[in-house]
Amino acid sequence: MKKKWLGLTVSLLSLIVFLFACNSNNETIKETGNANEGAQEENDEDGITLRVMDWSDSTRYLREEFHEQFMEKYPEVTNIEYTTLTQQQFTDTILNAIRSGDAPDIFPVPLGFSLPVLVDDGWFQPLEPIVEDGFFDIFREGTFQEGINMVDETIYSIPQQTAQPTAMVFYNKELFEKAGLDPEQPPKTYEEFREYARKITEAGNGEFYGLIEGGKQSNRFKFAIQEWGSLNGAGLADNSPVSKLTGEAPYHTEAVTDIFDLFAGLADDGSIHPRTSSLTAPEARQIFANGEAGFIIQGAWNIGVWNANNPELDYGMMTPPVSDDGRQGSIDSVAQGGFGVYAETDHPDLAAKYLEELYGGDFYQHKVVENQHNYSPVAGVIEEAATGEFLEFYELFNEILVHGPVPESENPDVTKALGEYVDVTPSAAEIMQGVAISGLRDYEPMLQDLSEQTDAALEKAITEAQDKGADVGMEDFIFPDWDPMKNYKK
Amino acid sequence: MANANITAGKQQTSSLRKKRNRYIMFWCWLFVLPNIILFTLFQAWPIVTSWYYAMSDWSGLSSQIEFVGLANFQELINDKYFWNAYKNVFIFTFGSVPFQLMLGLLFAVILNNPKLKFASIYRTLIFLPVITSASIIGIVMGFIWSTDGGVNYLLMQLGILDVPIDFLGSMKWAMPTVIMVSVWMSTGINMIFWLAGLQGIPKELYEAAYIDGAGHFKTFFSITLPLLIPIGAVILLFNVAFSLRVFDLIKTLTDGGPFFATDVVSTYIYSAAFAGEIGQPRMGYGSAAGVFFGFTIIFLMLIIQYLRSKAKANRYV
Repeated sequence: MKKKWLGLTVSLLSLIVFLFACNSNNETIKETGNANEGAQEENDEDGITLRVMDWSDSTRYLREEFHEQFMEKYPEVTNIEYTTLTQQQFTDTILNAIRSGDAPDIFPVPLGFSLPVLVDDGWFQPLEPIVEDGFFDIFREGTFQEGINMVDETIYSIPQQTAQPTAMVFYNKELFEKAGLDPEQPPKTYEEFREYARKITEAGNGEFYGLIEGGKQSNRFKFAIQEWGSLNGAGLADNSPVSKLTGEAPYHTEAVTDIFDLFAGLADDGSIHPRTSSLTAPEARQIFANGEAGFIIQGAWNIGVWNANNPELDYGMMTPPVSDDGRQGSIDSVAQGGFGVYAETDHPDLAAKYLEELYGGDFYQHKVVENQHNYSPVAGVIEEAATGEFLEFYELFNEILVHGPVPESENPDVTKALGEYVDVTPSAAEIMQGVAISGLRDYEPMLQDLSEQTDAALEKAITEAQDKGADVGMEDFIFPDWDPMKNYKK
Repeated sequence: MANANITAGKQQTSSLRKKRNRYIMFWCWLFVLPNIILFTLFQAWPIVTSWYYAMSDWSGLSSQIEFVGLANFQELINDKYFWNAYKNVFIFTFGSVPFQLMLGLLFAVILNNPKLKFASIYRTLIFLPVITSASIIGIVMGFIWSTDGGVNYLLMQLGILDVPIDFLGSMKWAMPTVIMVSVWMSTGINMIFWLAGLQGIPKELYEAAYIDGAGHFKTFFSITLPLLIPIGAVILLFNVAFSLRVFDLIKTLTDGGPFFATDVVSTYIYSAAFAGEIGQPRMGYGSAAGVFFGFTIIFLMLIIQYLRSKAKANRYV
């Protein structure tokens, strides 16, 4: 009997301890908010901790060096808590951090999120009141775009890099030679591109192939369709679901179907590396560096990686191929979200100083360009610090990159329509994934359907936005006076 | 007087019994309470909120939630890619569950033999995939089943293939490959369940059967299998529920591709609720898909339970 009571007492005590632990956990959470305030107060006495979070792991070593310099210059900041995550982890973490009111002082706009929605929800504060006058004058023209960095003409975020293409073409010069091709004469048209890829594949005889892609990521195909299609006159860009030239989705037009025909041809020839379907972009980049493919469709961030890790790789770079009729348009540069300051930060002035030093100081921006990581959005830095292939790439893409019209800049209410817009499934990228790696050939009706559904989805979004009081119409998505070979200046 | 005493005694006994029952109930509830609290917080409450979200137009990012009634469900039932995912998850379930059950039983029967040497080592080896994270399995299997992976290498060495097959990139092969990986992954846990069932069968039954001259097959079909049916029904229920909810393996292995060939309801929900290109993510729509499919699972489980009770009534179970 005694044993029984002893057992029951122990059980009860354990339960009480458990329940208290649960309860005290909750209190701990609650207190963290207060404790944070308390900690901040403590910080204010002993020194301040700034918290920064992003997904820039490749430049972390430079940021840490920058942080040391920053803390020397601003001794009241005794600690910078810098967290780098993957993009997906960052998105999950920041959502929870915002909900619990415990977000870092400085963090970028998560990819795929609309800045106006986040500002409306109290994520970021306007930067102009907290940074020094004239700070924004140091940036390149076109760095800040409405709906991406600005809301109602107020700047909320600063891009980490200048707008640049993500679907340029790199090629392996050694494999060109093995296939009897001139490495100094890369292909210019779709037909030539397919022919070159076929010859490389034949020369490879199972050892190497014409083209490799990170085919597991449908966004790689999205970039190819968007950028190659725009060079072919599609008028596509990240900030509009329809062509800015016609106001209609162009997926069924030749400007886009040419690209699909090319990829279907490459797949039919067996020129696409067989592992493409199971590769992510970084894996494809490494396999290209191993000499297993003649072409890869990628961006500038590969240059630093290859130069550091694969110095033996002899690669060239080219603008994407075009149709026999020549180039019909340009890649429409769209700014990136970039860093903002948390609306509830306790240290807005120091967060602003951090951004001023990060962009305006003489260390970080020069180093990221010099070490071939990013193209700085600060005016003059690329010209001063870029060298070798990195500079060559910059000059090359500037031939085909323009600042197209930004619908949100022309009419801020466009953001409200885009906020109502629902993506259509399957997307062009998903269809292309099927074409390039899974033998899907009946893509023309799908593209026709995609165009029709995209037009309908945009019309519906506009109607819904109008019903909610937005002054927006289909005309806000059409820019008939824009020559896609030139910057849009209105 | 004597009657009164008896009545009073009975009342006292009844009162004591009631008191004791209350006491037992109190302790029962006290011990169940932590689980109830955790279940309410992390399962019941999210289920209730997902019903609410399912009737809203909400991205999951903003605090603005617009009530749209059944519009999400209406859109859902008109979306052929939802029905594709719906169909795929049943193909996956019907393709994987029977093999998982049969292979699990086969291994359990073999390893239940007390004369088998190193049985615990075999058991551990077969169970190993169960304790490995499905995400890790997805990534590793991605290499093994790739065009230059181990499977293609083996098949080519054996002369079965001339050119490698893109098992995960081909619309024809992707689903069978995912099913094979899932069967490999889940056989171990099924084996353990079957072993538990096998060890509950009285040995005397086998001894009597052998004395009567029954062989291995006769005892298996006449003793083992009928006595395993009750636990088999539970294992079936568990496997069906698990397969219908498959996510991590497919997400890491094929991400629902190629071209939706392995897209199941969970990956469909994930794409709707957490991914967006120009449009925002659609948590409301994703929740509607989740709720809709949740009812499907409940309906299926009810059917299985009904069949089980019918079988029980007929003394099959």
